[in-house]
Amino acid sequence: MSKELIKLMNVYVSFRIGGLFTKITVNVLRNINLTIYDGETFGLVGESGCGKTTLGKVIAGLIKPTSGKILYKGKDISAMTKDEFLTFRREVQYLHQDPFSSLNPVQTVYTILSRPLIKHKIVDPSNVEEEVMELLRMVGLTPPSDFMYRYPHQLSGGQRQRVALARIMSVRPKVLIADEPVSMIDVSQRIGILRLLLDLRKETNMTIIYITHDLATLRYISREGRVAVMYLGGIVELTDVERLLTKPLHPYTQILLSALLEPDPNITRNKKVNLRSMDIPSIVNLPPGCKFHTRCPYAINGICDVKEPDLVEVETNHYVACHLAKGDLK
Amino acid sequence: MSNSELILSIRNLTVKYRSRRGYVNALRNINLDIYRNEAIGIVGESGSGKTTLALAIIRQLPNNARIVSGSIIFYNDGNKVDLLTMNYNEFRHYLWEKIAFVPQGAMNSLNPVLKIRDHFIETVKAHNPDASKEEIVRKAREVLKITLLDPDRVLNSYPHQLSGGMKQRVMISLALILNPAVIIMDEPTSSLDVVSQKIILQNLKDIMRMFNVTMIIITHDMGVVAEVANRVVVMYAGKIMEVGDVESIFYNPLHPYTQGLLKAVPKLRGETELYSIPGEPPDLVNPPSGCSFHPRCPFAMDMCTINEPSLKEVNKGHLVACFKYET
Repeated sequence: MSKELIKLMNVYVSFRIGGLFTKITVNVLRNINLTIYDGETFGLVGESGCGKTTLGKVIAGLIKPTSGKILYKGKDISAMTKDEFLTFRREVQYLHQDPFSSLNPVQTVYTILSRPLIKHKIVDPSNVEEEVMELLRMVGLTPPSDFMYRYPHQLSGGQRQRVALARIMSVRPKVLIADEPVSMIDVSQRIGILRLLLDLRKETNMTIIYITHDLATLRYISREGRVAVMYLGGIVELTDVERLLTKPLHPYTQILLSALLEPDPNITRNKKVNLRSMDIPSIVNLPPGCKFHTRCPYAINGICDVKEPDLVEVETNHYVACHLAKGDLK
Repeated sequence: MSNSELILSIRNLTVKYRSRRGYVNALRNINLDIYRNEAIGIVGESGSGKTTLALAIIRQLPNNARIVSGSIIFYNDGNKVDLLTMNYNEFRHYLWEKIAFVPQGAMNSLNPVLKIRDHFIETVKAHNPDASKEEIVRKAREVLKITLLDPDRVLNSYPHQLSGGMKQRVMISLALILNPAVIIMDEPTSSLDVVSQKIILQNLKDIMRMFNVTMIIITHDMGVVAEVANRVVVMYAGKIMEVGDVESIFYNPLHPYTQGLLKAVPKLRGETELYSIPGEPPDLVNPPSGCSFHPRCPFAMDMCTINEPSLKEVNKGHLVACFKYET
């Protein structure tokens, strides 16, 4: 495997919520250990509230972990000098879910794309216009002259997401963190955006961290890549996408797969969800032991509700956090 | 479904919105029959007019909308009434009692300062002022149980004490409490988790059977339609492009737009190669001439740019608006 690019070590994030006298601490991420390799496409999958967006923002340096370390190219980002940190922030870019709010509505596409070029001195000031045109061509907004002086409201959702991507590509990132980049875009335009991500990765060799609740889109952009499944702030399973889909070992992953709707009536209607309780425990009041035991159909009293399982390698490159995953109990 | 009893019959419905750029052609000449006890899925992308269609049925179109033409006939115990021309005071009794609507993001429709119990009491009392609170709460317990909620906990909670999925189920229960004949749901599960979504959709099928209710499910998600609908309506640019039972639409789609849409959805198994519908969604202020899909259609012929195809039956119960099937 290629070299380690980002390494998370025992990362915890907690937020404090509530009023003056009712302040409580919410553990949004618990003990995350993860290595992202240079050039890979890594998927982070989970339902809303599982912490996948928080984890993406931690990796991008947008949220500071409460404890634990994040290494970028072997360097602890909290110990970086100002210049090093700026370089890190430039090289690790975040693509937001909602292209309707991530672009400044009073700026033209040209302004949106030229600002980072000038600020980071990416190109000579005399070449800015040419570079903006090149960026627009790169994201498939052709001919560029048609789009340069438009405002975001004159673009469709797919076109806006392309502008947001062009803005990111302007600073030549090494890592792109894409947080549900197609969930707010019309179905007929989604594939276009996903293909663009694939093309950009091929051209620039950048690392992509793809955050989603939709395993089908993840499978489209990264069939061989690795994926981590998250539940209530922890990683419960980590393996290759195809293996996760064909041989899920964690009961939560199995349920997630049986719940995913498929655009095929005969297949989707025959999939049934087998859960002890349909409601996710509140993250404010996490259950003891394995966080999934309250809903898990296989949970064993006295084990699963007492001790939280560690993420262990049960077969080569297949990590699972479940007391039953070794196979002898199930 | 052809031998079933009609419940709603929409004819020549055209709706426009006034906007600064001109009139937005939100619905153009919609003709659709809906039968008793069916689950009909209306699919389309944003701007296809699917929500406008729902709002027109319940007469809740925004102020800048104008119904240019059309009728919506509701078959009520042997009587035919036109929902659009009926006196509004009379129509108010049809809302919730006959036709209930669960809006998109329904979980935000609950009043944050009222307990769930009071939502039920208020809803029922608005239609039946003599109903006793005990009676209402008893009925509320029943419908909450059907949507897999714990009545003891939920009735005494405020909306913020419930999760999104639970609030969505409360809204469905509220829609059921007056025993309506039709429930229209706009994106019933789009803001929910994968697991809650599946469970609610499975649950909807049981509800339909128990309550003898007709469901109109509006969604952009082909997976939702595959899961619950027995008939599917595909909309594009304010028009119905294709209507058929769920098997015909998924296994033998006829309209090039439906075909493209199905090929564009990423799948969990099989081929990963996908098709992308070229071009951009249409501008509804100036819709394309002829067939509104022709600028993006791989099969477009000269006539498609001039004439607009109308919805014609190709196989039994399978209708499509495309010149490819007119010879």
